[in-house]
Amino acid sequence: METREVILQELPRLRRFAYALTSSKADADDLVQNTVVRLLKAGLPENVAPIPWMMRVCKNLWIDELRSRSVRMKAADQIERDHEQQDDAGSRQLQGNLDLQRVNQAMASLSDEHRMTLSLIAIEGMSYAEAAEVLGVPIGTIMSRLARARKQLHQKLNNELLVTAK
Amino acid sequence: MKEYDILQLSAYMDKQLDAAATAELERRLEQEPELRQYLEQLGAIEDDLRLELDSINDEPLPEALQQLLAEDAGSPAQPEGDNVVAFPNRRSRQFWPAAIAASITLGLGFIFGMNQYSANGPGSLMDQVLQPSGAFAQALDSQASGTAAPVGSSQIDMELSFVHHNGALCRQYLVHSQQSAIRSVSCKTDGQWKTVVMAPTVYAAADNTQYLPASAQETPAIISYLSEHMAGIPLNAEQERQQLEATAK
Repeated sequence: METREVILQELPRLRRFAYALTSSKADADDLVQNTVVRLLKAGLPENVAPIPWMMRVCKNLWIDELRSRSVRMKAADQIERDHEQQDDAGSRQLQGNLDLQRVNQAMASLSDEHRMTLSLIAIEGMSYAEAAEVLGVPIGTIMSRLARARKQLHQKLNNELLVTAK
Repeated sequence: MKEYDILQLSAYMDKQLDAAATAELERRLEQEPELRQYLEQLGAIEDDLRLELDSINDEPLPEALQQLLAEDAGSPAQPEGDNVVAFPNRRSRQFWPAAIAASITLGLGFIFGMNQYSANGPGSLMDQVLQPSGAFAQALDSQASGTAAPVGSSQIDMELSFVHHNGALCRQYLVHSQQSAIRSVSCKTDGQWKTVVMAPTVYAAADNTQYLPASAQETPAIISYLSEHMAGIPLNAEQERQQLEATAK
């Protein structure tokens, strides 16, 4: 299959992964744009599983983007700006769906490594071995990051629920 | 919750525990309500996370990305050699049509490039699907599923109709010109037909003597879209007629 056909086929998945990385739909589509440019330029390597390859390129580009930013914004500030951007763009809002907004905020509060790991395994359905290949870490690291990410999400969301209930 | 328990639960969620560890954990889940509740909460969080992350695919693709992928359109598919086998007719009214190719699911109001196009060139076929209007829109408004209608130099085969979760009437159809084809779903909102998903495919006419593998006609993206967005099952003939009359008003 040609590179472009693979990209076309997996574009929804790539967008979803980019959204998980960036916590911003606007940033996600920018990241996807840059990723597609890179993928088309490089071409699908022979004997390489296409999906992990695409995810790896996307992940690396996002890491480059983070490094190039002059100031690392805090996750809460990032979400606030993103919501403003989304309101301005008129994109569809999850009006009244506070649970999903809270989950997105909680996800954004994770470290980049934890967010990437959780996204690849829990959302994209990759195996531990595939995720380890994409992220360039041992499988044991994948397991511990996953557990930590899940624990942190649970803590953050559970604490918010407890506060709400009071 | 103990760190060890969280590690176990996390691995269990991903089916990474061996048989013995799985059996032990499941025994504990039966006997320890707190552990079971924690696992359920972890699962619920990820269900919500998946919903939220999936929502980006309801947004239209940025125009720059659309153009980027459209500019990189590949060359048209070449027909197979002379050693051909007659391909059976497609069923006129099938829920899961059969043709495979690269495909894309898009938010409402999208544009996308295709990697296969007919000898007449990609523009006319794609333009009709991307912006249903005129005779094309009339076909969507009135042509019953299981029938076909000419639209310019192409033909539109209506395949099925369904109601979207958001209440809109949607129609699945195949637009083809010679051997190239696009399978699409368009939904009617605010009196206008808008195409929400499209997939290039290959068309096998009744009198076609060219060999085409069965897998060549599948469009997984269309199937996936219907699975996710269709309320209930496709409309029968009477339901479809009523919906078309109602949306024509």
